[in-house]
Amino acid sequence: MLDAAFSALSDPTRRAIVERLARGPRRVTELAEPFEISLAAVSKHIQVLERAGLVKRKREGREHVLSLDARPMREVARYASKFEKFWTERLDRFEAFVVAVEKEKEKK
Amino acid sequence: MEVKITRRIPASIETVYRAWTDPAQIAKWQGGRLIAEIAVDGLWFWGHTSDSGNLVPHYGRYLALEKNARIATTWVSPSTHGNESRLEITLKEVDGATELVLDHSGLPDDEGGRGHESGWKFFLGRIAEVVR
Repeated sequence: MLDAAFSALSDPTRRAIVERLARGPRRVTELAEPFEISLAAVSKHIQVLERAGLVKRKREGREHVLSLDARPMREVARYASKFEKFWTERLDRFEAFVVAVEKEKEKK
Repeated sequence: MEVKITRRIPASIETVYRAWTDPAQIAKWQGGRLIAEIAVDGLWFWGHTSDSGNLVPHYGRYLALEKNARIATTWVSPSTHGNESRLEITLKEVDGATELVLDHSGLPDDEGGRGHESGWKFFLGRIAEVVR
C-alpha cells in the first residue's frame, strides 16, 4: 500500500493534483483545468492515485467528484519524517550530554 | 529527500565539536558500539540495539573535519537501504552558545530507496498539515 502511494506520488503532475485536492473536493473537469494536458491524460493520473488509495471518487448526478483520502497520505508523511524523528531524539541526547560536559568544566 | 534541523546548543563550540569528534564522547551520547577513525577518509562503524533486540549497523566515511566549524560524513544504514547518504554538521558561535545545523541529505524517498527528488519533503510537509 505504502509502495503504491510513493510510486503514485513520484510524478509531479499527480502531486499537483493531490495538492489541489488538499484544498477540498473537486469535480474531474475542474481538477483538469489548470493542466496543459488532455482530460484523458488527467483521468489516467487520477486512476493511478485511486489505485494507490489516495483519491476517492463519488458520483453526483453526471459529475464525478474527487476527494483526498487522508489515511495513506498520513502514512507517507510519517515515513518521510522517520529520519527527522531519529535526529530529533539523537540531538536531545547530544544536547543533554554537552550541557553536562560544560557544567563539569565550569566546576574545575 | 533531506532532513535539516537547526539547534541552539547552550555550550561552547569547542565542547560541541569535541562531542562529535571524540570517539569516547560520541559513544556516550549515541550509545551502542562505535569504532571510528577520526580523519578525512577515515571509516566508522556504529551499531546500536533496536527495541526488538536486533543490532542496527551504521557505516560511514568522513568527508570533512574542520575544527569547530564543520563535519561531513557519508551515512549508510538499513534505513537508507544500503545507499550512501550524506550527513553534514555545521557549527557557528552565536552569543556564547553554538548554533548547530544538521543536514542529512540523499535519503531514500520510499521503501525501495528511490533517489532524491526536489520539493518532495516540502510537499509532504504541506500535505501532512492539511490531512492532520
